Amino acid sequence: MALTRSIHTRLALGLALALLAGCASAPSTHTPAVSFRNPQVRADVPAITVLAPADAQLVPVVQQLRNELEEDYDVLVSALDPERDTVDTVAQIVAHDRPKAVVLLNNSTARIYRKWARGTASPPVSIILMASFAEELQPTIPNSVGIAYEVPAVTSFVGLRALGKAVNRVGVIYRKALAHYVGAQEGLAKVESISFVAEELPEQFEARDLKAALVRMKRAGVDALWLPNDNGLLTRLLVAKVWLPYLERLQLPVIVGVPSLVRADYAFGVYGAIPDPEALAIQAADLIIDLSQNGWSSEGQSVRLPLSAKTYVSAPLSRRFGVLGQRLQNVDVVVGQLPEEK
Amino acid sequence: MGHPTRRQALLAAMGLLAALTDVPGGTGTAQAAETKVYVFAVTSIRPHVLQKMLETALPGMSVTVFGRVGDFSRALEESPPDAALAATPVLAAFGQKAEIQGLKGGSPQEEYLVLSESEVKADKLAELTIGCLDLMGRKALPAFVQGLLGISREPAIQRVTKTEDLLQLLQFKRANAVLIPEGFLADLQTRTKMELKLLRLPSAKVLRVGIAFPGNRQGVESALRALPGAVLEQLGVDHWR
Repeated sequence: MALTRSIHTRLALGLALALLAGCASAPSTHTPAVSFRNPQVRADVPAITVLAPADAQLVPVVQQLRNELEEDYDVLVSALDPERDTVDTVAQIVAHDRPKAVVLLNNSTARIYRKWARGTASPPVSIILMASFAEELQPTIPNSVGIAYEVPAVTSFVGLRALGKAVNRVGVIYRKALAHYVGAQEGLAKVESISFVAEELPEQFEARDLKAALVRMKRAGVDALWLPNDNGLLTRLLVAKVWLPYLERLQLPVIVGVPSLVRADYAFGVYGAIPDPEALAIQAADLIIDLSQNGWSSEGQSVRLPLSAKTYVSAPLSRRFGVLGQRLQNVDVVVGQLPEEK
Repeated sequence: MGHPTRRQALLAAMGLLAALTDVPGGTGTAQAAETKVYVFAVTSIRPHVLQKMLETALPGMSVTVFGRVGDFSRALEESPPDAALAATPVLAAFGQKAEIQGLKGGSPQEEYLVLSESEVKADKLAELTIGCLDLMGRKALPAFVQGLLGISREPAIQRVTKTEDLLQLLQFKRANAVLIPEGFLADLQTRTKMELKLLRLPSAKVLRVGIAFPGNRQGVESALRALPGAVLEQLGVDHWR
């Protein structure tokens, strides 16, 4: 028993560190900085401005946007530093580029731009991209639209289904703060005849509340447990004392939204559908074209759901939960190996 | 150490950009003297899996399988291969002529099906938003879909890059109907419990994978003709003509 506890504690530390890196959802500014290069501006070619932190993770997004739009637009990227830049910086960039539309990459960029847009008579249409909870951000930015960053849970459910695992009843344990988000996901899942068994934890919940909820999930006979990205449910203590020992004991397949939780070395995430930045860029390019046909106005537009995702599966866990090995070829990233391949 | 200079930062960014754009979307690396093969195929397996299968079947050749048509077309233009494999209309869209045509069950064509949540009539298709795979880029796609649907004007399009994403278009109501290659219907049915309606159109047929030779045909043709059955199956063909 003591040895098991020690292993769980060590795993919890690793997992907690992985979560700190992964659960921020949208890219943060903790990755290597880059300088974005802009093409030669062409006469009589309209501009699309991209405002982004100088984050190496965003280079493929910018490149894909440029690939899709460069025939018709100069895609001009300006780095914004949330610590240093202000509304004046945004004003200067917009005055210089005179863009038809502005793409806002990540939350910190959107917040700086929002300050400027709110004080401007008619700001250009903006597209919120790679930002967490864009649905909540969008109504606060005048003349904006967006693409949600979070992959809808139903995309994960049908992805796991395609690997041979029945997914008809899904359990979800969440804090009250996420009730609205979970409700929206439940609505989307209904389209696929997937029902939720939901356990809402009180705001000041304790480890034993989570343990009890997990046991009830097992008794309810859910096909899988969906774990929304929520740092509050994934503290080091909860991972060590609840998640790892209980998931191992209860044998519940878990669907996660962070790649670092799909692991081969312990029972946690068996499957995850994760945002695909380049696919988001292509979708954003199509949205920009739609806006161009709508007089560069956001009227009638809302935040769109992402259409594509990168898929991750844990090979050893997938075997445990009845995934067909042959179908792992349909997954982007297979973590670990199937038992007989070792 | 101190902070990097602007020049160092610029060089680092240029290096990163160069690495990202060298062979965009592909996972293979090509050397000047190597025989190069590019592939853009609609498959249910991931591009890196197909690439591994092709590399095993074509030893000594540099194979790049592209998952996005934009990456495929850019690579064709910037660094032409010796052979390019893609559905014949895709090759044509980028100025390549298929010299060899793939067949399946004796037919060079694959049927595309119209799937929708509500029943749609063939004579109303032009009024709908149609979801489809991006086979030839944003600008050329509407005319291509118009041809498949046999309608008199270009429809509104929602494009995706993977067959599985067609389902999301229906789930999220971004499209009224989607066009799906018949070979992928079974895979889609394993995913969904939506009750989808199916419409077959006489015009919705697409030539299967063909082979164009922008470079040294002699050095690559025989090896491609000898591809094993398992690889051909993933390419959606069973025979070359």
